[in-house]
Amino acid sequence: MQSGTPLSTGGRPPTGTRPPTGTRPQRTGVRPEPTDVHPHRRDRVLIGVNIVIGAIIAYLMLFPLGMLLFSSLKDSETKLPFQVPGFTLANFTAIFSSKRLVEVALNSLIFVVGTVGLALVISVSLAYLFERTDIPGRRFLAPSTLAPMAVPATVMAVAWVLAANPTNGPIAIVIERIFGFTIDIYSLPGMILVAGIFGVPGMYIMLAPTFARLNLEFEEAAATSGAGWWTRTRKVVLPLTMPGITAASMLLVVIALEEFAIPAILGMPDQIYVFSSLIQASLQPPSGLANYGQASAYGIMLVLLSLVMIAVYRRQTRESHRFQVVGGKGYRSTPVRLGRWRIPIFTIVFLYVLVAIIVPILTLVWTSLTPYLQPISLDNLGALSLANYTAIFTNPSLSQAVINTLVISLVTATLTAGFALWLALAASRGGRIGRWLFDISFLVFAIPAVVLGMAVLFLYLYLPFPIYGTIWIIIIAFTTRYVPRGSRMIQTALLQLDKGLEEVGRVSGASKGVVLRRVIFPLVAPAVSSTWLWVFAHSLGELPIALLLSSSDNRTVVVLLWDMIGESANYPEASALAVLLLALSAVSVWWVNRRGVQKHI
Amino acid sequence: MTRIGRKFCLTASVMAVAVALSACGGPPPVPDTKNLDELYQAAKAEGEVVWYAPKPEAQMKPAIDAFEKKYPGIEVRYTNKKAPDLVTQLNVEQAAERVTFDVSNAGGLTVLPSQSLAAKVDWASYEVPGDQIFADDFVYVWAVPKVWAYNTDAVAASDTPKSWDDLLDPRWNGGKLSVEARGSFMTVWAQDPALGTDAGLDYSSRLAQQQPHYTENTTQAHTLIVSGQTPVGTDLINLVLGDQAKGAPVAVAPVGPTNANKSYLFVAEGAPHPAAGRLLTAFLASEEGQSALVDTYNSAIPTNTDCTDAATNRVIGALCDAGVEWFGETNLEQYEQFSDYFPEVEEALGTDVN
Repeated sequence: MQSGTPLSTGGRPPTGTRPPTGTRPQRTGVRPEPTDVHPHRRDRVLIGVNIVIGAIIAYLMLFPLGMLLFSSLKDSETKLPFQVPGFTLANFTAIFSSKRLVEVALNSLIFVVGTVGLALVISVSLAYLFERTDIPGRRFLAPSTLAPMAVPATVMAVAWVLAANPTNGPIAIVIERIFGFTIDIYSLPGMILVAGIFGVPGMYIMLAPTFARLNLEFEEAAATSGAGWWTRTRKVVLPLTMPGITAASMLLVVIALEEFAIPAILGMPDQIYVFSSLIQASLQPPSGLANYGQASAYGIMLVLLSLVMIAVYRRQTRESHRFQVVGGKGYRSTPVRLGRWRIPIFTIVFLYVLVAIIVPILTLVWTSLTPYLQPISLDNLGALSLANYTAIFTNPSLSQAVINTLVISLVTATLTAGFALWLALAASRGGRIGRWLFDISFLVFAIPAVVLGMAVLFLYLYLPFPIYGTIWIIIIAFTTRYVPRGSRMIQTALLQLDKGLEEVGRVSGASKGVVLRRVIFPLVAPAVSSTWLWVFAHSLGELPIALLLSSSDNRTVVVLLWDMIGESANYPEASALAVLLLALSAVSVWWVNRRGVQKHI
Repeated sequence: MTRIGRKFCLTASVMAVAVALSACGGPPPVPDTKNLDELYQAAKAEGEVVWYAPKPEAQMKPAIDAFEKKYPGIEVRYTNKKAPDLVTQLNVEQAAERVTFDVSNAGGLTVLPSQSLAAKVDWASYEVPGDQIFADDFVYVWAVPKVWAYNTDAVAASDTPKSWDDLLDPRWNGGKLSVEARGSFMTVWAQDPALGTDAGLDYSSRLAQQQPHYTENTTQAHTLIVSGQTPVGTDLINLVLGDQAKGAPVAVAPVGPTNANKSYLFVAEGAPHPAAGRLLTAFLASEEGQSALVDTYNSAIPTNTDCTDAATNRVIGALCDAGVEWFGETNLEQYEQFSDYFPEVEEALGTDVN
């Protein structure tokens, strides 16, 4: 990896870097030429490893994109894309001649802007408060915001419906009694509220390391010049964290456009259709055979939107030195004192966690204890029991599903974190090819999950590798899906590092590998561990791809969960399984965070 | 050659051999058996059967256990998969000549695309009753009648809607009806000669004016009824009976006629265990298999019945108690008609997205 920036001066190398062994400074003060030939061989190995990893990532990213483009140009209403001769623009014509185009576009715009805006405000506020201030209860509040990551959106949407529906939802009833008006969860604002809250964990986990690194000296310098808190936040804090905020927003835009469980459950009642409704309708059309050509055409539109976002992001991060806050000079990250605002702010944050996180989780727990789906009510307390948990634990398929799930999640998280780190390094220090690969990966992120799953299914049916029907095909599909996100999480951390740190290491005689291992890796470790955690939690609960690629040998816990709600509406048993997923996710969040996402250096 | 280079070559060679070995072989031959006994011997040699269907495993478990008890030495490996995914996966696997499952399911809109995927089987030679053989290669195994259901805590039995026209009463206006957006509950209007598709489309338009609470599928409509969010709505008889058994306040409304959506099993062309696949399908169509399925409300039900068999089949019993007549699909032409009819129903309901 080449740095490409001039040597910085006046910096002190970080501790931990030493000149290579076998050299000793001469009395004349002139450093002797290194006599050890091993650094050249290590560099060749590093180059070889880089080529192999680059080739793997290119293979993972380019094939689904190629398949997407290929399928979008096939009229596959009654056949599969590769069974249809010739190419056509019929899928795109059908999209743009749809009578619902304007309505869907408008609804989608409001839904996405609202969802991203709400999630942004909440997650930026939480990241700032938890990582920069002395807010009390951080050790409980911060992990709580991440706990629901592993629960599938379908289950959380039903939990919200139970908790807030206007007929018998307790949140709706309390609001009506206290404030005198009825909230309608089955509306565009309702969709935005639930989707926004659902998007907070993913955004927060991207932003927290970014805020954790901010050097208080920048804000103190502004305060010394007479800037108030709001001015300092607006002109110092937010600009320095803009790459992270932009990257997180871009990802949530794509997620919100593709998310269908929340619009289907909360929007369908009032016929509020959004972009994902179109994708879902093309996958379950009246012909009975999923129309992958049309679904791929929608995917192309998401990819084109992603190209615009990539251009915006590139322009914003072009002058990356503006975002560097971690340098060779000593810096500190001391919490901002909230003073008399400590308790009021804590109360607001606690209320948010209570309403947005704890109440839906308690609704899940309630449902898991009931024999059938029933409203939350004191009258129904007598019907509660642990029967659903007994049924779960005596399910003969559970143990294998748990093993499959843990292996898939652990391997996917580890592979994704590794590839994402490499991709992020390639983007910021690897020249044109690295940046190109990094941008391509974001296009892959825009491919709808089921279309991506189908591309992987097609590939491994035809390739003579014994992967089809095993957990490895799911691992490959998940890794392909999550590497783009993980690389962006890590890249925002890399942007905050002064390249002078690496230069100092190399000037001291350290090889590229040593600089990576002893300088870069420790500084991006929090972002890498956040990535690992996010991927692990989401792999636990990812449904569309796992369901599509499932076989009798690779079923996961979430496929078992689908088994319960898909055709039998057994939400109580599904909720019990969701509670177990939640517990697993909460344990992993605690385990990763016990060392602290926030690092005060 | 360097040490690294030698290691690389060795690894690549091993992988190439593994790849070559895994690519060998094609689909097993079709069993040359003439009766169930010969079929069982051939199936036992195969050792297992892989069955995919859009049903929870818990509902199929009694039938699976009964099959494994009757035919020891053959393990059933079951997976629940969505119906459209089944068709696509089998289609793709057959194109790649790597079919991984033996018995698949076709019902509703997946019947027509599944026709070309089924193996040619002489089901009569395996003692499958003639009235359960459909389009030569499909075997009718269960039906799931659609019904209108109501929450018994929210609606008194005397106030329930008793006809399709009752549902258009203003008292059910404004979100009080949970209705499946795809409109499959309107199937019977294309089957009952007394109704007709034109009348069905007109009815759908008038139902849309009731501003029902639309749901993505019937399962979600059922959850709203059971949890009391909507008092009345479209439902499936097996969901109603299943929750009734747990004490849920839900019952079948006497709104008829209705459609009993037939579901068929077939052996996939190129199945890895063709004999075992045929044996399992024939078993599920048999009296013994049906007895195992009836306990989970998944069995074949006759459309011509005087309700004397209500005592032995809870689905028939519930429909007879509610006084609901039902129609099932009788030929392939009906499925062809549905392909044109359902998009028009969605348009009339206002739920057409594409």
